[in-house]
This record gives sequence, structure tokens and C-alpha cells, in this order.
Amino acid sequence: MRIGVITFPGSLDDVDAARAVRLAGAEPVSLWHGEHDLKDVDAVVLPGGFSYGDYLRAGAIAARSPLVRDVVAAARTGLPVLGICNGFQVLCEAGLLPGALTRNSHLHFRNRDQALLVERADTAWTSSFAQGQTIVVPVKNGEGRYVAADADLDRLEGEGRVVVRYTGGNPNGSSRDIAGVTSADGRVVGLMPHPEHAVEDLTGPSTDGLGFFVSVLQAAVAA
Amino acid sequence: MPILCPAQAEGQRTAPLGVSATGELLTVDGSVVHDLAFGPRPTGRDRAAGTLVPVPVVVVDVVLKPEISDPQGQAVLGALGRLGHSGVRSVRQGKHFVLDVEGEPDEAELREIAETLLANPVIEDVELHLPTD
Repeated sequence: MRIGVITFPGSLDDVDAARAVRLAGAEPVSLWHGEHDLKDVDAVVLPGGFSYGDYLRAGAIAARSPLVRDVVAAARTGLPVLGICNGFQVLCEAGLLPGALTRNSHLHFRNRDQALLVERADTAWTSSFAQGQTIVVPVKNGEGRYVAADADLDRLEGEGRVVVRYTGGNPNGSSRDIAGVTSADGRVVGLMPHPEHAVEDLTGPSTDGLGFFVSVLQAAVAA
Repeated sequence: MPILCPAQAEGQRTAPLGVSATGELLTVDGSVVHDLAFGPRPTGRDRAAGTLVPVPVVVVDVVLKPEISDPQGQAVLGALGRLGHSGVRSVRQGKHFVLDVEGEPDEAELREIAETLLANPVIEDVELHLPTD
């Protein structure tokens, strides 16, 4: 299975994401934001970082790049897409996921190991977890406060679109402790915490993050 | 902000060549560039007397929707309080875009630009200010 990892100008975690893909047992494929070439990958990861220096709004310029427009079209026909941190911001800006990510309520960059409650264990990227499981992965952001209008939040909750929720403390003031959400079909997932930084005991607080990348292997087999 | 010089008033494009001893921008032939960036900023509604070329300037203001909290504005408010400006009750921070457009501004196109790129309609409100004259 081939999983594409998109690099934007200002991406930081594309190499870690590719490493996580490899450790999960898939082949990472480097994709460049400026090209209309998805290279026939079976899934796509949008990594963390500061694409375009967070100019205008975090993820705003990257969301209008040629490859992301292709990703949006492919996602509408079921391509599994995972957005991590800046990648989540890009997916929200591109309209693939609801809501928006804004400046942390306390205005500080927050970098720590974070406990998350898995509320959806049936998406393309979370099927290897158990619903209600608590996992620990790093979180590191300055603009990670998830917001949407109250009516939209109610609708998301009603539809079960919250995939992971902060537990044991909210690192950025996100509405309703929301750490990650999914598309209606469960194929697109975005989250602020970094599962790709929790794939080996040597370097991460756990290996819980590997579950996201293992899950999509199963999703591709099932598709 | 484009640099305007007398040559441009006649439809030519002339880049500034250098800076004079007194800090004025010079063109290729050594004449002084009258740079509007150093004078009053022209806007659609308030153009300075003596402007060489009327440039259609479109202004777009973007602010967070009232229901979205603005921690940056709150930090500014806190600083104002510490400086003794106790009369300010609230601060909302936003973005201000100035667009020089070619020819007659196309309101529909500019509205699309403002609403789909310059602002994120999920969290922000946008105001488009077109030249009125």
C-alpha cells in the first residue's frame, strides 16, 4: 500500500509522517504541493508545520495549492486523507472538514504529551483503536483552538463526527475539548495532536500514534 | 503600493533607479519620483489632492465573528488597562487588506476574493469597500 505525504513550503513533520507510514508497514510516497500528481497513492497524509509561514491564516494558502485541490476531489470519492496539525488546518480551510483552527485561548504555543479519548473507532484512520480508549500523543501548536458556531458544534456532536477529544486538560481552549473531527463518510480525519511523533518507544511518549497509520491499511484492504 | 512617477501618469512604467542624497527616489533620467507611499494614502473615498494617477483602491476589512473569542484583542485590552486607558471596554483585532486593481473594479469578483480567500466565513466577517467615485 502506498501512502502519500504532501510537502508544502514550510512543512516540518513530513519526514516523521513518512517514517510513521513505513513503520506501519506501508510505502511512503513524497508528494509536492505544487504538482497535479497524486502518484496513484491509496491514501494521503497532510503533515504538520507552518505551510506558507501561516500567512493570511494557518493553512489558508496551502488549501488553495494545486495538489490540495486534487486531494479534495479525490476525497469526495473516498480517498482516505489524514490531516495532522497544520494538515488539519489545511483540510478545514479547504472545506473538507468543518470548523476552523484559531489562536490558542492563552496565546502561548503549547507543546506537551496529551491524553486523547478516542470517540470514533470506525473511521479509516482510527479502526485499530477501541471506542473509549485513551491514547497519549504529543500536541504542539499555537493556533490549535478548534472553533465553529454552536449550532454547527451541536450538529457535529449529533452526527458523531468528533473522533478524538482532549482529556486530562485542554491544551488550547478548543470548543468542547475537540481534538479531531472526521468527514461524514469517516474517510477524512483531521486532528491537532501528532500521532506521527508517537510511533517508537525511543522517541515518543507511547506508540499509540502508530494506530492511525495501521488503521488505514485495513481501510484500504476493506475498500 | 506601486511607486508612481510622472512618467506613469503618461502611461509609461518606469522603475526607480536610485535614491538621491536627500532620500528622494530617482528615475532613470534622474528626475525625482513622487512616491505616494510617503504622502497621504489614497483610498477610494479619500484621495489626496495632487494625486497623479487615480488608482482604484479596494479595501477589505476582516474581523472575527462576534461569537468567536479573540484572545489577541483581549491581550491588547489588558495592555491598555495597564497603561491607564481604562475607558476602552473592548478590543477586537482584525485584518485590513488594500487591493490595487486594474481598471474598473468588478464587485462580484472582489466579493468572491474577499469571502473565499481573504476571510474564512466559518469564523470571520468581511467588509468590502469599493471606490465610491
